[in-house]
Amino acid sequence: MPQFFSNKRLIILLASMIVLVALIGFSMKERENITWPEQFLHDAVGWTQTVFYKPAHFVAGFFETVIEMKDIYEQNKVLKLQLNDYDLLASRVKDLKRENETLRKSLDKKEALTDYKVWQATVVGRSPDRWYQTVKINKGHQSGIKPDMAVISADGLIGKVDKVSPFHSSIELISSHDPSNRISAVVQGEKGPVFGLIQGYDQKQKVLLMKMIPIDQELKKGQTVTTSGLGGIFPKGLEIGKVVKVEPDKVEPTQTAYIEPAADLYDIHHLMVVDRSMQEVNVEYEDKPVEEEEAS
Amino acid sequence: MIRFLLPFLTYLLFIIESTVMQVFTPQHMDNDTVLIPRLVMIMIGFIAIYLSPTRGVVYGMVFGLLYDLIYTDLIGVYMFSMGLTAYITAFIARFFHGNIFVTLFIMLIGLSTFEIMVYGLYSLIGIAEVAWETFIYQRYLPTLLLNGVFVVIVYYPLRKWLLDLSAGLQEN
Repeated sequence: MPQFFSNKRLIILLASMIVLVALIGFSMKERENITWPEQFLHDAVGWTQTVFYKPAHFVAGFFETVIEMKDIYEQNKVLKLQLNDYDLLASRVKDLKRENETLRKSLDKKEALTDYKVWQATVVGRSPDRWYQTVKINKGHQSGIKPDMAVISADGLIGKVDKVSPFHSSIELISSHDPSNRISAVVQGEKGPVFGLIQGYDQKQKVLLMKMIPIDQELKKGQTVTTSGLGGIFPKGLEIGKVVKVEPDKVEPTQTAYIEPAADLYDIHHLMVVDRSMQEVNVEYEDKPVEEEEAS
Repeated sequence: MIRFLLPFLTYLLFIIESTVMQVFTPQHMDNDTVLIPRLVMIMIGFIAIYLSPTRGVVYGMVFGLLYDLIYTDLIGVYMFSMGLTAYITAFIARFFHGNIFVTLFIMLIGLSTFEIMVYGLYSLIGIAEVAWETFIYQRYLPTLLLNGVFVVIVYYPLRKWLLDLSAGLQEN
């Protein structure tokens, strides 16, 4: 019986293990963006993905439409009822908007945390192994997209821009496990806003974890969670999801809320990249408290 | 032909994994099962068994690297796992010659090694935070089943084509 590894091959194996560790160490460093050969590869793969994704999506979409036909009649009835309410709401929003604008003008404040620029983009692919939850879109830094911008679908927040190449960029979904991924969030409670940090995702229950909520704040099931705009990059007021459950922490005097994401994280085809207009003045100052929290 | 067609075909499978297969994932129907298509790994396994082990390892490392660069933040995990899996598959295949069942069996061993190796490395680094049982029932077994079906489907045409290529290589 031949040896599984001859001596020469054993040495090669050991050397490749060392290379593996070195490569992982190199790539685990916080990098601003990927290097140009990587960007080139991203684009090359992105273009071929576009060729395949669109027809596949079209075929799948056709079957979905046939199945959905049954529900459409029922849906139509409900939607018609809701439309009446919508008109009322829309006119009120218009009034409030105008009022807001005039008040802003009188205060001489031009930009708000809620203002943002939007790019429409289409998904061209998704990472097949589910360890990393990323999707790829067909807009890159040629269109003006930069890392860490927020990404939303029509329903709510999906994730943030991770890597950017000239014509494509990959989006890290909020369901992916990344300990450095924190979103500053706010719940509009009955007694005022309740702030917290979205940090982590429970794969089993499919909920986001909102941590660092002070223990004396009361949260209820069904309350809506939005971005607070205090994190530095994300604009204010993007919907994240709804509170499902609240639990006090075991050690710290804080509580954790479980949040069901508003956006469907699997059926993504069109999405919007969002950049907030108001820029950060002093980034250093913003970063520091977070690091202290980590250490304590 | 081998110089262009084989890499091109493998690359095509690589693209199909992330596009066509993603449209039909069971997660659209609120199902927790994670089915991961491992078409590239199957292709590399076949290359390692029927063409040549060296070629299998090289293909494994190249496409593993591509996988790392495109879909993940870490470079090296897939490159290492795919290369080693190709080697292991070729090594086991040396002792068994034969029919579709033997090949299926070898490929399943290879895919298991691959899947467990990636899971192990990722949990070591702290990216995969899934319990062992959850991994086995939710991810490993369904994935193995799906890819077993793929192996059976492609077995006859792919084996014949690769053996022809291998014969052509030996003539030169």
